[in-house]
Amino acid sequence: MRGATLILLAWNQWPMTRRCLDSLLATRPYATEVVVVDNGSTDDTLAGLAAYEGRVRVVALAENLGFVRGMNAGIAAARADDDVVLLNNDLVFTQADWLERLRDAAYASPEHGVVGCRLLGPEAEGRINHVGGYIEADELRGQQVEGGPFEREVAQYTTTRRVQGIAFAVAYLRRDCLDRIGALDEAFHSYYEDTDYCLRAADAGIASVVAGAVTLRHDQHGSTQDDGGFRRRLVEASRATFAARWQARMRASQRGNVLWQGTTRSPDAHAHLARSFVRRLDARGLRMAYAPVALEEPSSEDIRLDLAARRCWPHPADAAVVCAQGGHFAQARGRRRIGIGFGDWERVPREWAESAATLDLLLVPDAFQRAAFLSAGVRVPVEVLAPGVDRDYCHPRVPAPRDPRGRYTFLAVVDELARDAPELLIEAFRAAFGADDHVVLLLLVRPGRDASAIARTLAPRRDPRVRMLAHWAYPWHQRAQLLCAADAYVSVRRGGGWDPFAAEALACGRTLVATDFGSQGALARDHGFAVAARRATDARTGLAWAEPERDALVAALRAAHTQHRTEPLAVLVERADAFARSHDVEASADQLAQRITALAGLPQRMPPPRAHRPAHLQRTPSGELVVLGMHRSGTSGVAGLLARMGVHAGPAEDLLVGPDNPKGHYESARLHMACVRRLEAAGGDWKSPPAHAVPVAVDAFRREAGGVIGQLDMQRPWLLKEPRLCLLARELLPLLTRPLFVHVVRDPRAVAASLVARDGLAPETALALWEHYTRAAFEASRGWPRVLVDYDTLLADPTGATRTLHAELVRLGVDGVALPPDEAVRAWIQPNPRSAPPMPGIALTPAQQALQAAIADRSVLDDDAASASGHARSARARAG
Amino acid sequence: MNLPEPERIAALAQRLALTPRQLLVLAARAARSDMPVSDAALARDIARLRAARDLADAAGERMLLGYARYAFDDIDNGLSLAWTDVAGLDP
Repeated sequence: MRGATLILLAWNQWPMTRRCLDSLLATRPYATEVVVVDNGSTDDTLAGLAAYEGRVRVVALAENLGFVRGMNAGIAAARADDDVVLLNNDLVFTQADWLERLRDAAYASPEHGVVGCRLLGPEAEGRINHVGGYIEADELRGQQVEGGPFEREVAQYTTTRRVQGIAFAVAYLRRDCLDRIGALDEAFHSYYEDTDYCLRAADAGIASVVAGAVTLRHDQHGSTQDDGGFRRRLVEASRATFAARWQARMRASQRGNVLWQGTTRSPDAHAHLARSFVRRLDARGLRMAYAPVALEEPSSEDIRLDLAARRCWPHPADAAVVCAQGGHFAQARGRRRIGIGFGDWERVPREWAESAATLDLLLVPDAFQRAAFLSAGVRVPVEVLAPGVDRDYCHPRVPAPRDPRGRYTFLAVVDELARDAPELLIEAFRAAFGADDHVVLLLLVRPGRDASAIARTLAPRRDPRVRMLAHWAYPWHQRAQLLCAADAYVSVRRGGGWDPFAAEALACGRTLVATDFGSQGALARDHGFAVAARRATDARTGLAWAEPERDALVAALRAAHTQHRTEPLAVLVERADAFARSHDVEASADQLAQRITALAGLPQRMPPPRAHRPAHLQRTPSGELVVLGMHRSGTSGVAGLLARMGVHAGPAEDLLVGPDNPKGHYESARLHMACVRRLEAAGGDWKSPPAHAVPVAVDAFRREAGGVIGQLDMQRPWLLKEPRLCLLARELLPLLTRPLFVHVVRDPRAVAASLVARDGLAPETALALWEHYTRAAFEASRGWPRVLVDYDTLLADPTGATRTLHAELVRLGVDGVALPPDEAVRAWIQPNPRSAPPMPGIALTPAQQALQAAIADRSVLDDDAASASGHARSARARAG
Repeated sequence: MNLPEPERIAALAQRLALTPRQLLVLAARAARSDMPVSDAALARDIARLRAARDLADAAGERMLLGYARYAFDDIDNGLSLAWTDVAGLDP
């Protein structure tokens, strides 16, 4: 059985290495060998390592060869077929299951090859050191995060997601990735080799991902600090090497100059959009520059936005995007001009409409705003661009200090006194709840023009249940903490302008209470509590907006509070995640990038290279066969046939024999029980497959199944067979060496009939289970060598189908299989007397019919088609 | 004899049992009011500052930033303050 070789590179600083090693070994990593490469240390490192004899293998180099050659020495020393994990000695392993979660991410998709993790710095409060990053073409500075530097740990980026590059402080490299592109490039000594590796991997269609479920501590540069400029010289030399190889190509991939004109300060909603979109457009190959529409001290809190603000751009830019109040639209300085706007009123001011006439395209967040611009006389095309929510920062698991008394908390954010109606909210809150109600209202008054007036106006209305946080400005990346400190977000305002907190609150699993007017009206009607309002006039502009009805607000506050008491937490979280998936800012950024590209006539993005598949490698299967098929599909028959070809199914005393298959299952009892326990531990069974993989259940399964694999490995070729493996095979991939998957399929109506007869299932339930298992099985084996056996064909022509299967195994390079005599095949392949004939009355759904057709024409084996699970592959793979 | 201005400020802070930064906060709060500051209000503010010295010093630090910058502080600090009954620095 293969596993992973953990390679720890050390150069002097033995106390740091010892701390790292002790914390690593304390996690008791499974199926691993730990290799410490001593890079010519002159301190106590070698002597200290002697105490770890038997637990680690030491590769001692005579001199310091640098990071790259040192790590390559470790890779060369790794066990054949093992994955490798490169580790810096300034790590502290603070998470026990770090390796298993890295394995989950590495094998979540066939094209994943390079896996990193979240790293926190040494600061006590937990600052994000690395979550996967990128390198930009101008300054060639490798960035460790997508957002801003030194962000606090607020559970950002906790899913598995693709990135341009990872830091090789922790790098899980799959063996098929190493086979494909080799080890680190020794043109580098230290630094930039990781970005180079990730870019080379990308060229080969191999994705670099960050496992958001893993967080470790990293004292960055601990191994080369206090060195009299040594590190700086290394960085500069590597940067030059990197530039010669990649910089021209990176610049050539930029498709045009786009100027974002807006604000990073106030109004907050416009600043929010600048922070959301500038970096995402830049990441999509548009060379973004930023210019404020009014004097401001830039506050980007975002590395790419900072870079955009420093960039020069040609006059005019290929396209300009003005994201500001409508009067600024005429300032657009691009060959093509796009506005992003929204207002507080039923009809935007006339001067906004006049300014918008200079645009080629106006984008608005929703239908209300579109109507508001059109009714003001705007004649240029007006399209809806839903701003979306940032799922990496806004989700229900964001940590936040809650009210220590556990009261139900309403939150409102106030910027403008007349527009935001905080006095009305306080009055309604007092009317809605008595002294016995366990509630509190938290008002955040943001710094700005009205802040002092708001505070003065509200002061007399204060009571102990109304808390005010005044003049408080906080880092943007922490905004979801504010939302998660509350139970409900209240956006009951007179003005109808777009409020970014409304959708983000829903993504965080909070209840939304908002005026049934303006940009929040539809959101509140569809996902929260909409508060009726009557038309009113904004005294400042004379334009129509809304006056929320007090009684309706009182009722909505009470209803939100009541709902909270009755709704299970799991339902709330699932709904929040579903909302976030359907309102993803990444999809909005794709849409915006496409509109800019089309309008300005810019080149489309280069298509990505063909995705890597382990099956593409010129390495033959190792003789590890995994038989996958739904219950009652003939997997036992095919496993027995393989056994007659000489494939080892395990010790006889471990093989199951049951009344529903008296000739034997060719199925390990230990593996069977491991599968049963795995599903049970996640709250399901074979008839009710659990929706989620519970980490502790996965880990236990991997260890149990690993024991079976270890025993089988003494005699190859061997086979694993258990119908539940359709659901679980992917979890075993880290332990399998170039496996070959044998899919066994059968007419789904026959499978269903057999399940109806054996288990008393309803026919529709049986078919749904067949579909679920079959899709999961083909998805698990996607990208790996695989063959398909039709059990109905095998029954009809046992010897012919056997010859076909044998020839296929030989063609794929499986050693040690022999064609069994025809009489032995005919004696073995006979219809199971307990099998029921197909039920002609069972109707397949269109999706099931499509799956059956894909199996029949073998297109289900097409690795580059949309996955068998029926979901198109996303640019951002997510798990967890 | 009149002291030089910096020394007068330091002496005033010392007399009020405040640090110079806490004194800065006190002055800022007085300056924000539209009305003349009463002795009672001043005494109340001084007592609040003495009771929350760390918070007051932090507020003073932020006031020393350039006038065009917002003073940022972590939101969980703000929330912690909002949940306490001794939130002395709100209006």
